[in-house]
Amino acid sequence: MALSARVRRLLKASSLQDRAMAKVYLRGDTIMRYWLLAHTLMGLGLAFGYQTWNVTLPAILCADLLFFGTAWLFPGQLITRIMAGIALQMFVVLHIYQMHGLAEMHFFFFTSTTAMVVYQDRRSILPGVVLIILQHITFAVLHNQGWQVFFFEDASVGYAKLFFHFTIAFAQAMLCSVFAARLGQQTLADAAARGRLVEKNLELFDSRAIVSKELTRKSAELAQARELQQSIIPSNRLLLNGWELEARMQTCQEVGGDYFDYKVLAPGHVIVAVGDATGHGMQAAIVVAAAKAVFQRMAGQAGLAGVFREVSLGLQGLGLKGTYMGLILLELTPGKVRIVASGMPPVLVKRASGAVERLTGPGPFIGFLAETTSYPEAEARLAPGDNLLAFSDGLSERFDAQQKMLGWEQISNRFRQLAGTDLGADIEDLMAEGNQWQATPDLPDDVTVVLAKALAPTPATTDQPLHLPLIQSEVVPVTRRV
Amino acid sequence: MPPRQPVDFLRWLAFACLATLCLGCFGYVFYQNDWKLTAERPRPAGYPKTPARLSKAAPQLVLYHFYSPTCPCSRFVWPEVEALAQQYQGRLTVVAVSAEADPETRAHLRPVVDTSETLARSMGIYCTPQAVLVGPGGQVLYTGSYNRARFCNDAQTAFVAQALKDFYARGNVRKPKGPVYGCLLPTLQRKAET
Repeated sequence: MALSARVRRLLKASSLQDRAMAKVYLRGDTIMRYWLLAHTLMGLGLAFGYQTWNVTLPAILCADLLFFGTAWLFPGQLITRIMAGIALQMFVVLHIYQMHGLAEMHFFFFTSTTAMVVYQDRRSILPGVVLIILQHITFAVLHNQGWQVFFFEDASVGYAKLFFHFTIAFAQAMLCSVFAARLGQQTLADAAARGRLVEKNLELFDSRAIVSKELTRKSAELAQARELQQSIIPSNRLLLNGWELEARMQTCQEVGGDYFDYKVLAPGHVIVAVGDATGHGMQAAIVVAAAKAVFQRMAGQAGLAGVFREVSLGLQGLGLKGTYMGLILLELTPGKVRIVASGMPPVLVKRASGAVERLTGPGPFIGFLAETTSYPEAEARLAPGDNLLAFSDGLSERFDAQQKMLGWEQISNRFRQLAGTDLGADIEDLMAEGNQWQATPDLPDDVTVVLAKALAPTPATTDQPLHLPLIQSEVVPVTRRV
Repeated sequence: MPPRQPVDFLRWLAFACLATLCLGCFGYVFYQNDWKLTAERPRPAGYPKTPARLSKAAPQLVLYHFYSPTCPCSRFVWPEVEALAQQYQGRLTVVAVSAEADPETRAHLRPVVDTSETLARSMGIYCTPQAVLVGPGGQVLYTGSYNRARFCNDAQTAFVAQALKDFYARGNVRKPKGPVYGCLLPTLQRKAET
């Protein structure tokens, strides 16, 4: 609908609330136009009843002209709404006349007052109603005084009749006015709420830009941290005299809280570390870095249990509250493994017969216990072809839709079924087991799996390893001790 | 804003004219077609009175219904006339008398076009709608309107219906004259206008 200049000016009203009410009033004018048109058509139809064209045509013209004219002069304004109420009452009068006083025609009084609720304005309903009531009272007085006013059927109009007549009509008008006012208040409240939402949206839009900038900066920082952390993780494949070793680590966030490391002490003699700092993310990554520093310094300087204790004390020295670590140290020599472990899933050994043995149990976390605490130790002899599996709880603590945990037993069963020829493929199989078990696709914790295979030892003739570590990972270690 | 004041004044002036015109016309239309026609009309000076007895008499009760097809009052009273004719079928002859030709034919009501207004004058009728109830002996039992109330729907003032009821119950009519209101006969109306 093309808006006239006056309507446009009205919509440009100062406040948001004024604009909201202006819209309601203009919409009301439109609805009222259709409503009066419906009354016009009905009036024309009813004129056939008693051939009341002499009254119908001029009356319709007067009522319609009154509203349409005022709506043209004062669109969306109070005077138009009041005239709408009066025009509706004019149609009520007409319809009653047209049907020669048919009682049911009086019901149009009620449809008319109710239709006025569309304006959501309590001021617009009463004027038309009061006009009708005053007209009735005037006629009643004239009638009772003996004027020739045959407006009422009774010989004399009693106060009781007038009272009920108008109390009910007035009550209906008041009720409609109250509802209209309530609707108006709601419209104003909605407009205010919408205004606040718009402001909030703008604020959010601004803050989103700030957050986005901050996020970019932090992402860059995290990427650097990840790069640094990956640079301290050694090659994930190792071939030694008597041992073949392969490891995989998968982090659930940018930086991991799992730990994998080794130090080759002599040909066929290596100490492997597998650890898991509590939690994950940046804090756990700091713990891992500290653990690595102590491990690389102490491995070979003290016995296996000594290295373990030094790492624990080193972490204690960090002074990080509530941050502990589970750790497995494996000392591999041809045909033999020695283990010190605590706070980690058990280390599993698979014999050539297919039997799987558990080497260590859980034990406490390290990093906060007294210097004298002893940690679970174990030792096993391995024949060529025997496999050794160490992993962090990220592999076994996976939950399905019923919140049932995967657990060590199932990992142990899967480990038994593995071929043991291609260690890399076997690790992929174990990791796939966890991913299939879990109901959701996201990784809940960091996962580290280390698989080692005992080989037939070759006679050590030199001090150098027979096979140097093969670098297969894309991660190139930067801290390589000479 | 000062420059807009004259425009607003003109607009309110236009509104005042519009409202006066519309409400005034509306009131006038109802005054002309309802108020005036329901006000009691005195007998024009020199107009003959209703005789007490007619010279010609029918063997049974006759209701002369004087009406005008152009008068709103006459149109409103048709349902009541039809109802009476139906109620006293076989015992009452209804004769519908009009001074103008009626495009609508009501054969069962024995329509009579009384262009010269002779019949109306002979019965002292100068207004429509009016009823003249004549007994079997030619005695005029009732003259006047069908109902004093505006909408013809109050049993208390349904004079013709009461007269018929009285006649069949008691043999005489308690209220032989009713109020006279409605549209003047065409000749009288033309005279009044000049």
